[in-house]
Amino acid sequence: MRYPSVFFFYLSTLSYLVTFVLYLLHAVLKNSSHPVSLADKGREPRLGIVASGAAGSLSSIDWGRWATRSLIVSLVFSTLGVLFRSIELGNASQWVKAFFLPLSTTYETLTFFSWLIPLVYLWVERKFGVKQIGVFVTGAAFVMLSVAASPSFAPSAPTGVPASLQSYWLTTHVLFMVIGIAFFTSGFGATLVYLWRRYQKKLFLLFGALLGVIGGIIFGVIPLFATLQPLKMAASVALLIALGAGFGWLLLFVHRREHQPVSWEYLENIEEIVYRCNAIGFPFYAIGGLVFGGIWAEQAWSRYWGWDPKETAMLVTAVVYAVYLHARLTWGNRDPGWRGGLVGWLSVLGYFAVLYAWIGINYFVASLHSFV
Amino acid sequence: MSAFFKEIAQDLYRFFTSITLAIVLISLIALFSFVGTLIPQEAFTREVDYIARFGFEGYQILKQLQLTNIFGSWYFLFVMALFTLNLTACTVKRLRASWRYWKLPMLALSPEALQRLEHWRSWEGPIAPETAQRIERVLQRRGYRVRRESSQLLAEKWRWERFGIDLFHIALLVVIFGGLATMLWGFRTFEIAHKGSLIQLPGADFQLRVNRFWSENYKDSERVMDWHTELTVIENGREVFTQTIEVNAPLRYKGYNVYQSAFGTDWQGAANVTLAISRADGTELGEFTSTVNEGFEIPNEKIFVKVGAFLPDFALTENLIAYSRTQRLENPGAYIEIFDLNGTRLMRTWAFARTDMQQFWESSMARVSGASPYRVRLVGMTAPEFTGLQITKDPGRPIVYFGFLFVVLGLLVHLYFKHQQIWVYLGENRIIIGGMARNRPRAFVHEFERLLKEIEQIVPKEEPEPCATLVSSSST
Ligand code: HEM
Repeated sequence: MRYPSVFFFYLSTLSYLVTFVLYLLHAVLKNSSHPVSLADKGREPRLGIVASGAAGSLSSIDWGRWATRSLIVSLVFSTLGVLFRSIELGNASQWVKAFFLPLSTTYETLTFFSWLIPLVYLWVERKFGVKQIGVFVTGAAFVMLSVAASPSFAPSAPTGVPASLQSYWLTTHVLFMVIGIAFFTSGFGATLVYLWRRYQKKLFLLFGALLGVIGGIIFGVIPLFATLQPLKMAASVALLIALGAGFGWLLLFVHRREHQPVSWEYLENIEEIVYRCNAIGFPFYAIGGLVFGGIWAEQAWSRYWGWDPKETAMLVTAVVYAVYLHARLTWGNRDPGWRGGLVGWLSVLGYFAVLYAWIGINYFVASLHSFV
Repeated sequence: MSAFFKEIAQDLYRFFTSITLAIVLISLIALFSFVGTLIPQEAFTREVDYIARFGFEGYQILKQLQLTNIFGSWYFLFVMALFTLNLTACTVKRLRASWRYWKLPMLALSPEALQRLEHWRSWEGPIAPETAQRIERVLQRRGYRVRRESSQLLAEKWRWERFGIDLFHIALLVVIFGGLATMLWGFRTFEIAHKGSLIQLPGADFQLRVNRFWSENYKDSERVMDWHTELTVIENGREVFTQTIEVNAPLRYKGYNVYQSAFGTDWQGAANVTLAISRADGTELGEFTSTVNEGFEIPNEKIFVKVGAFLPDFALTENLIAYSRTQRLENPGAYIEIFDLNGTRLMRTWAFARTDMQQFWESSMARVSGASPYRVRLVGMTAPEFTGLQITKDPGRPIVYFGFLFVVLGLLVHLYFKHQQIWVYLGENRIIIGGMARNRPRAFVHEFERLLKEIEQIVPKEEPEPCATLVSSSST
């Protein structure tokens, strides 16, 4: 094969799918409403206890452990993919600058993200031991790789890096932002677990409302301002609906199996994970975007800040997370009332902003940045 | 009366120091910015593109609402101003709190109080006289500053960490002021330069000469690797130095920055067009060549022909304004005016290179304004290459970078350092160690466990009383 990276990315696509299924099985078949203590780091968390009512043969397998193993295998594949892609890109660019991360086309960013996001998640899992988060993260990695493999982005041959991207500041800028996004992704996975627990009964309603809002924005608000490419739009909406339906189905399934109420302590601990992930992600994202991005933009376009749609969207994201951090600091996580819940929803909003700044904007607005 | 003002001042202070206000303002900024990403902004959008997209009416409405320049609109600037005040007030308030915190002495705690801390452990048994000293050394090795107070060791480190987030907020203010300085005292222009052009920068005591410019492709490829322009700085008629700039590598001199920012063919500014002109009856008058904005005389005919404009990709908006859709040579058109020698305009028209366009235009013109005395066709065009240089002077830049530096430092301090305090109570037959870290109860576990492991080597090894077996607690 001419481009080994493409081969490894295909392999990791499959492998992430398997991993996703394993995490799903783990989440569905293990009862997880017992408290988990963050101090239990390293030990197999108490989450892993088999539900008394569900001691069937399927539930007796330790799916969580297999999921983690499978994740590591997937990571090996995608690490190889990224390594090869870097070399291929370097060759195609005649090594104008000594080292580039493969981040100059949508295909490359998607594959790069699907490497770094699960990698960061692996660290989060090691540290906190809540494996339900993996369902979202590996699912997202699989979706990203599938999108990257789809004909519209095509596992294309690497081409020379455009002049504006030939800068070490760009590499630093993107790398920091991707690390930030990776932490936010784990944080969002944890947020989903948290909200799912917090709003046991009401969740379906809320989730439906959420999808309604997204759908409303996509169908109603954005076309008011922008002319859209219908095909891409239809594809994204279909993807969204599929994801939403799948997730909703999963919730329904899991919900039926659970009878005991969730302990407050468990909730608090999950919330702590959300906070830690977001609080670590924030400096990476903000420094990478506002500082390094600014320095690079000044060299390439003569200004460090220009209210370009993409950089503005990035500012919005950083600001939403700043609001999240402040809200959590003032209103606290121990609030069982609506404020505590609001903090969780702010985290959701932050991640939507991430998605908007990272992917959404490319479809809706012409921008200097539209290459990524 | 003064009590009245005092009350108002207090209310204002309370208003501007509230975090709720901060959240509202930040949310508003986020909202306006979001709208700003959906509507193209004036800074990088031409009027005609707005009209093509939103229609004339829609454009007028957007403009009235200042949505096409939202980041310069009064409401955005108003929110920004409030936010700056808010941030300043908060920072001042927090800084005082941090100062008080800094000055707060670390006090000895009673054994009971120690056992109410989130992390503590106790040992029972006879205590060797040098134990205290050895524990003190362990703590010092781990970076704690240790003080002795009667029967206790008081150890702490990183108390200054609390200033990290203050530094961060102050640095945010510095960045905002840097941006303001750029807005107020900065300047920027875009120059289209040809080979040999001399550029005089406003306010500068030097000139720039464009020696040459070129682009470079990747090997065996159409893709451009980079664009370059070779510039010479000339001061008082003397050449100071020569430098080649490229994308991502500007020239910087005396506070001015020159960036490689565009490259291409200068159709709109300097095209050379060749026109074939004939009388309405079909008599050919010949072909003539002229540059945009200039013209030529046809002496035999006693007319003067002026080329008013050249558009490489002619298009019309809905209210019939001609513009160039792209900068590529897709549908070239030249705007022609013909005068008699007294300066009276005889006719005006557009001349096209594409025959279908030419026919369409002539037939519609004939319908609207009757026959015209001459026919003009566009038969040839060339244009010089140009290099586009963005030139700026940006006094805010160092301020902003200075701010950036401390934004980063402040955040890192906030993230990686937490004020940690350890109390070691040395009783008759008992040692109690308690500790805590500001705002970070859980992460402190590891540090505390490591410390205990070292201290365990020192303290009495005797069987402890059954109920006090290594009582330890790590979560609430
Ligand atoms: C866009 C602007 C701002 C950003 C990006 C920002 C960011 C941050 C961050 C990251 C923290 C640390 C939060 C944590 O410990 O989890 C923080 C803390 C804080 N901020 Fe802001 N901030 C901003 C504006 C403001 C404003 C306007 C105020 C005043 C109302 C404010 C008041 C505070 C306070 C009181 C803390 C508490 C820190 C502590 O006790 O540890 N901030 N800010």
